[in-house]
Amino acid sequence: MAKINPDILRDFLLESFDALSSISEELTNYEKNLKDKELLNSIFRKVHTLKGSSSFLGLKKIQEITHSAESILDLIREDVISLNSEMIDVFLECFDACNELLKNIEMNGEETTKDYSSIVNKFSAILEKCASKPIGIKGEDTRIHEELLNQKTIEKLTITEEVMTMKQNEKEMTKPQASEVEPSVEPEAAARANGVTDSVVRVNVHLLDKIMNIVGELVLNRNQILQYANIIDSSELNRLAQQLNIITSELQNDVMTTRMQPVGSVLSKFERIVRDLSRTQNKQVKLDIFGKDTELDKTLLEAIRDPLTHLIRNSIDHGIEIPSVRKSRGKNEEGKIQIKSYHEGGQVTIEIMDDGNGIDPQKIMNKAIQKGILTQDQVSKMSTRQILNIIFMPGFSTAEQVTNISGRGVGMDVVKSNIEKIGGSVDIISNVGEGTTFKLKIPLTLAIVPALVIQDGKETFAIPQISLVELVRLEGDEIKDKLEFLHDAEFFRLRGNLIPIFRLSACLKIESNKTERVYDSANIVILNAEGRVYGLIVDAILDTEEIVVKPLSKKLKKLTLFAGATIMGDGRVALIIDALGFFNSVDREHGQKADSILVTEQDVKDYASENQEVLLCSLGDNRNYAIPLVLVNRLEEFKSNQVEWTGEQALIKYGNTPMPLINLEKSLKLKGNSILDSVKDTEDTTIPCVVVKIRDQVYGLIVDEIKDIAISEGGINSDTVDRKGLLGTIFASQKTISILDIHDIVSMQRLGKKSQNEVSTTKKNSGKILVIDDSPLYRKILKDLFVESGYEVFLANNGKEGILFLEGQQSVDLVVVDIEMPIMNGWEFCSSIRSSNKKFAKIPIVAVSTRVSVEDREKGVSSGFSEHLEKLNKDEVLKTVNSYVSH
Amino acid sequence: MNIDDNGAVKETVKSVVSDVNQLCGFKIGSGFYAISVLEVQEVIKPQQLTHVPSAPDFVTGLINLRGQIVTAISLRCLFGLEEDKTDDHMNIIVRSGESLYALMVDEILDVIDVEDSTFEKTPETLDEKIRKFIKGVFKLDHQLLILLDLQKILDVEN
Repeated sequence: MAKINPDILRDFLLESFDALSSISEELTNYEKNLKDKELLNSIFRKVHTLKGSSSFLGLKKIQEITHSAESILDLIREDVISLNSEMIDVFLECFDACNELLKNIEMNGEETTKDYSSIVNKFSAILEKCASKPIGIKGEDTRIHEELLNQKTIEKLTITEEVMTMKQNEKEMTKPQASEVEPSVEPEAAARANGVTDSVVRVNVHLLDKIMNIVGELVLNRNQILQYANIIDSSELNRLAQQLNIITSELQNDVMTTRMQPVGSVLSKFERIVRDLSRTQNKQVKLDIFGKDTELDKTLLEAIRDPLTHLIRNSIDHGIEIPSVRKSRGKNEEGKIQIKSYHEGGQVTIEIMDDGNGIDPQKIMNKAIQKGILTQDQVSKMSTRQILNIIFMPGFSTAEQVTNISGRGVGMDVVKSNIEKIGGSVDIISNVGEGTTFKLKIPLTLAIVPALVIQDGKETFAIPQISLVELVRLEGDEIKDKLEFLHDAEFFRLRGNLIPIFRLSACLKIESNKTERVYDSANIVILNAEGRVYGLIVDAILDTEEIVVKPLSKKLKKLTLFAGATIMGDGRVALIIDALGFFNSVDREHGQKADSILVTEQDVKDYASENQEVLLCSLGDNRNYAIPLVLVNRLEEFKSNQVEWTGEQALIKYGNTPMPLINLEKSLKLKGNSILDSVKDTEDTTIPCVVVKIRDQVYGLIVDEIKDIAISEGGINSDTVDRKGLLGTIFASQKTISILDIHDIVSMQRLGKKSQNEVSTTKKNSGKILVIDDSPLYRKILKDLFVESGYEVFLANNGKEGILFLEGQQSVDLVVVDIEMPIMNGWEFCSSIRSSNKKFAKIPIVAVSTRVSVEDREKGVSSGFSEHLEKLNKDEVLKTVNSYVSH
Repeated sequence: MNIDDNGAVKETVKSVVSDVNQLCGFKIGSGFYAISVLEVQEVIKPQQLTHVPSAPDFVTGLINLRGQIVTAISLRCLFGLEEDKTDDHMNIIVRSGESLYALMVDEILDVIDVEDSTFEKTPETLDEKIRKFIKGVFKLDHQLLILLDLQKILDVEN
């Protein structure tokens, strides 16, 4: 008896009390309507269940009684006998006895010593009678009645006896007997009232969900009232609002707890899984579970069941070694798996710890490279922790053998994504030879989440705090200093780590209050999306608020950048930003920008890609000029009094080195004066400056005004050039614009020998390079880059031309190829080169494209590219080329 | 205007309209449209809209309807009609599964009783942009009433 698991016993009692209370009612109903077979079946089922579970729990008496009741019911069911009132009495007596026994179990944990054999005897008597006479006799009726009376007297006697003994024990009491009995009875009744049945009500989960939703509405309403009360100056309203606030919070808390269930209900099931698995694998595993009482929202509990099962399976399958191996490693032959669950920082943490062989980062690394998930280069830069996390990547499975337990498609990536779906996280700690620990962090509940409310433009957004890392505010000059540009992407240095920055208004294409204005302060919300940290610049940070997450309609489900919507204090709808979805969509958008241009310009012969982007600026002659954006390092503004002079050359302190400023008007012999010329007179004008980096030296190109970024439509026309320093003209923003030849302009400067020295040192390179790119602008830039480094450069418009060239020319040392091209693109070019049996099949091919994602890199390397680089990163391109064609 | 001249099939399709006899009529531009009254939860005045960035054009925003989030859809935009400059419109609230939608229309007409015998299949000559959202046409005394297929409207992707 004492061994019965209290949880199981409680469930049993609940169920049995439930069954018994309805059984009596059903029985009397059945008496009135003997034809209702369904009712009879229901009674039978209940008795049967009661018998089954009591025998399982070793409750002999209940089992005995219910067994005999069941046999009679069975006969009735089979129409051998029909129920009469005499039988019903016995049945009722039987159920009362069960009730009594159960109550005793509930209070004392065991059945009474009382003898119920009389009931059993009565049943067997009925059974015997029925065997001979199908219908009961009247005399029997009275006898049973007598017996019943007898029993009642017995019961009464025992009770009075008890009372008497109690009375004796309380001799010191002088009060009259009657009042003395009462207090001794009452506590018992009270105790019973608090028993399992009375304290537990079964409620449909749907109803709970509905209540939860309504409380959600109430929370919103409270928020609105609180906000309103703040505006209206009324102490009475304020007091009421505060009261409402407290009550609502309490209600919200309580309702939330109704959905809470101990994690034990899920964890206990693992005992069996561990046992079965370890047996089939001939391993010895002991499972210890701690913190079964930790409570979690029911839906969340359901959601973590499968991921947890997978992790446990994994621990046994890959973690715990077979006993002989364990012994040889000096470990206990019996492996240990521990599951701990506990509250931590408003979340529930579940740890699954095994003392198996741990995860070898080296193995993971090799596997990842072998599977082509990552490159050697990428892996070498990763920390141990990052390497361990590779196991969560799709397509990765370390099991050397695929067993029937793991390697069945439900990978660790699914575990991770499932946990993250419910707002949780998975972490992994592993020491080789010592074991592995998986740490799952699960939010307490889903429906109501604390969130940061931010504003951008006129729109309000909520960001769940779970993805929030910190808030950073930059003021005044800090903005310029700390927000750095790499091409058109912004970055912020957060304690030494470079993190990408996005402007919410720009990403969402909403009107920001500050778009045109120079920012005097910047609020950066630092977010963490599955380990990818990035910053979001928003107009204002308003408040933190508990929000009720409401899903978006089916039509908007595809918008992964929003996790849902909520209703704010003022009744307006606000969208909830999904940190991961936002990051992904911003990422994709950048990529798509290139694609969309490619599509629209498809029929144009020389079709443009985003590397045709140019920076528009005006010079002293009030005409527009363009600088290829790929060459632009940064845009700066200087005060005129910062400019220093050495001879005729203007300089400015840029970082720690002096940067030569180039007077474009003079270099190009244009009409009109540069701002630089007027600098000497005025003191404090702002000089816009385009910083370019040529041959490792920065130059500041002084312009009148930096206007815009435009995309060159169509090709570059070099026939129109009338002077040195111009590359040609392009058609952009519906105007013809001259493109500056920055390389030319820089070499025109009679500047220090330093740069020329550098030219001569880089000139040492020699080799032949074939550049294949459909963009004439970029062809020219690449050519300049390589020619300056001393290479001999050949050009081709597309992959087809490239192959024709290679077939004609005896050899080149390297091919630099663009990916997106008409007729034959980079991929096709590469695979056709690699698969050919010509002598150039093994030539190094460096692919360049504007955006290189991890997948691209993988795809690039697997399709035969030697390298796949970002086109805009000239330094890297040159360095890579040098490394392949080194002499 | 006579539909027969357009070569439309003239048979009455009972199955499509068998449960339709009362329609909620509304106007968009100069056209008369309708959906079954049974599909309409309520009709509300213009509400404050929360714009959804990156959403399809026809999604004009989100409405707070007594604590429920409603996705507002501009039928004008969906049908490729010119956007109405004025703010004057009505929202027909309909439910589809778990989600609520507000169909933005110019003007609400009465509940119209129609007879099955006046039903015609969608004329094939109609612009495909609109045609795919239409179940058929009722020939009323003075005008044609276009019966919209709500499910198709709500299922549309971009």
